[in-house]
Order: sequence, then C-alpha cells, then structure tokens
Amino acid sequence: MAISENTTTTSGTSAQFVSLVNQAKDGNRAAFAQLVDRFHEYIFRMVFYRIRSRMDAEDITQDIFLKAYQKISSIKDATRFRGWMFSIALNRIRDFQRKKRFRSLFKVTDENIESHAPVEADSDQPEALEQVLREDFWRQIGLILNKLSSMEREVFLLRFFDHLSINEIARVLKKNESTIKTHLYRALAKFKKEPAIRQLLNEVTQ
Amino acid sequence: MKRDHENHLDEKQLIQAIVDQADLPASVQAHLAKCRQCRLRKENFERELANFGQMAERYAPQPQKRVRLPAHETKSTFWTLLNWRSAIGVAATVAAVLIVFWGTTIVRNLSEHGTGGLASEILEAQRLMMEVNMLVDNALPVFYLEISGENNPDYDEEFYQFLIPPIENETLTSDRWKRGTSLC
Repeated sequence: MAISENTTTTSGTSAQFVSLVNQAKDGNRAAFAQLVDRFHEYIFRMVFYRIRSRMDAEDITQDIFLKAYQKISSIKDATRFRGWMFSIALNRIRDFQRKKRFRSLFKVTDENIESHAPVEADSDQPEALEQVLREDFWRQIGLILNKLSSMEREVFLLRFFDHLSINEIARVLKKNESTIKTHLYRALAKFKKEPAIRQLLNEVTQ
Repeated sequence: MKRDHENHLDEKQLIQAIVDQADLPASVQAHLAKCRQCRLRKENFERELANFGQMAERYAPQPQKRVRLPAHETKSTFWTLLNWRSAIGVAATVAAVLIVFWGTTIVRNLSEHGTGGLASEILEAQRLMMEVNMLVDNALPVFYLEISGENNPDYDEEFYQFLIPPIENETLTSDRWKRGTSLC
C-alpha cells in the first residue's frame, strides 16, 4: 500500500505524521522507530523494484534508514519526509548499482534476477506456482524497463510503482515538472507500443 | 455526433491525459469531459497501469530482516563530530603530514650523507695514494727496513760510502794495483 504524506495512512493522520517527523527530528528515537515501522516495507519494495534482489534490497533498506536516522535533523520541512526518504534511497541505490557495475567487470554471471527459494521441478504446490509466476513477472519487468532510458525508467517507477505525484518526483529527482512530464510521456509512449508490455498488462488485468 | 467522433483523443493525447490532463488544450479537455468513449479509454489505460503497480507490489517479497537502529547514544558534540568519516580524515591528514615530514628529513639526511661520503672517499683515496707513493719509495716493510738498518739514524751517508765505496774509487784502486803503485 502506498503511503501518502498528505492523506490518512495506515495509522494516524497527516498532522500526527508531521508531529512524528518533528519529534524524530528533535532526536526522539522512539518517534523515528515508528517512522521506520511505517515506511519499512514501502522503502524495501521501492528498492526491490530497482534491484530485484531481496537480500540486496534488505541491506540497502537498512543503510537508507541508518542514513535517515543520522541526517533527520537536517530535514527542513516535515511534510516532505517521504520525498526526502526517496532521495536518500535513490542515492543509495545508485551507489549500489555503481559498485555492482564495477564488480561485474570481473564477473560474467548475471545476478540481476534472484531466485528467492529453490523450487522443485515436480512440485505442484501453489507456492511453487506463485514462485514461478513471480520470477517470470520480474524477468519480464526487467526486460521491459531495460527498453526505457534511465530517466524514463526512474520516472515511470516513481509514478506507477511508488505512487509519487509529478510534483514529488520533480523534488526527488531535482528536476522541473515539465521535464518529468516529458520523460513520463516518452516512457508511456514506449510502454504502449511494446507488445511484451501489452501481453504482460493483459495477464495482469486478467 | 459526427463532430464528436472526429475529435476523439488520439494516442498522444491519451498519453498526455494520463501524464497530466491539465496540460491538454481546453477543447480536448472539454471533449474528454463529455465523451464517454474517450473517458473509458483513458480509465482503462490508467487501470492497467495501476494494476501493473499492484502486481509489482504483490510479487515483491516481504523483507525478512528488521531495520536495526543504532543504540541510543548520549554522545558529546566532540564524539558526534568524531564519527568514522572524521576519524579517517584526521588519520589521513596526520599520515600525510608525517610522510611529508619524514620525507624531507630522509632527503636531507641522504644529501648530508652524500656530501660526507664524498669527502671520506676523497680522504680514503688520498691515504691510498700516500701508501702507494711510500711503496714506490721503499717497497720493504718496516721490519725489514729495521733489519737492514735503513731506519737506523747512525748509518749516515758517510757510513754507506765506507761500506760500499763508489765505483770511481774502486776503479782507481785497481788501476794503481795494476801499475804497482799504492795510495800511501
């Protein structure tokens, strides 16, 4: 479920949320721990969408919250906490991808798609089917997203996977709104033309 | 009705409507508000994208590790500032200063050692040349010189002449002997 800064969330109202951020900003560890509880899954998924490896996503999520905890006092506007978290997260993801590219110079195997658990070939359990579907889904997503430029991909993910508004995306990526709209428009145009995407969308909507 | 049909949103306008409907021209916005068919196309595409996002959420794994925050610390400002980055920075600076200091000291020592070494080499060469010259003058070691009386101050030139008369005197003496004369 997406978390909004301005609307009611799974627990508490916007005013409560702002109060929580302000308390965390003043050094209240318990308040920050509540923010972690509220954002943990959301940030983890956001990382996973880009890394597509559960273990790496967990490590990066830990780093993101640690960084946020160290820098929370520097946040100027408590209402922009989510965008601020996203900025930290994107920087961490970029760092990880940079290191991964460097490591890949010395390796030949593709570690992008991770197998979550070994699936027995003759297994007819529902979990096994779900696992196969999941892996296939992320493989398809990887292929589709690779057809977009890095900026188009990022804007697309932030808009439709992370549910950020155009204004929030512009703040997170430090670009103006018209630039974001242009990239989103191009991403959607490519998206609509791609037969693999249409097929996947049909499977998804069925 | 025909006019409305002609004004249906094309693909570009449909995508534009998804990105931000407010950016569409007023006439297109008005058409979208009235035309059920165009509205349905837009809503279908929006739904597809929303489903896509939901499916991603569904197929994303759950995190298995909890986020661990650092233990509550009541550190002073000094210790807050002295985090690991600062510590690395300080260590690097100290190392750089030491390297520069030691580097200049070593270079200085080397240069001093270099000039001192040159002087000692010259002295050594001079000492060797003196020895060589001494050997040229007299190759016998001191011990043999003493045996031979070379170093005895009592043996002067007159003594040696007495001991080994010059050849002229010898020749003169032999001549006189041949002629049957004597010196006395």
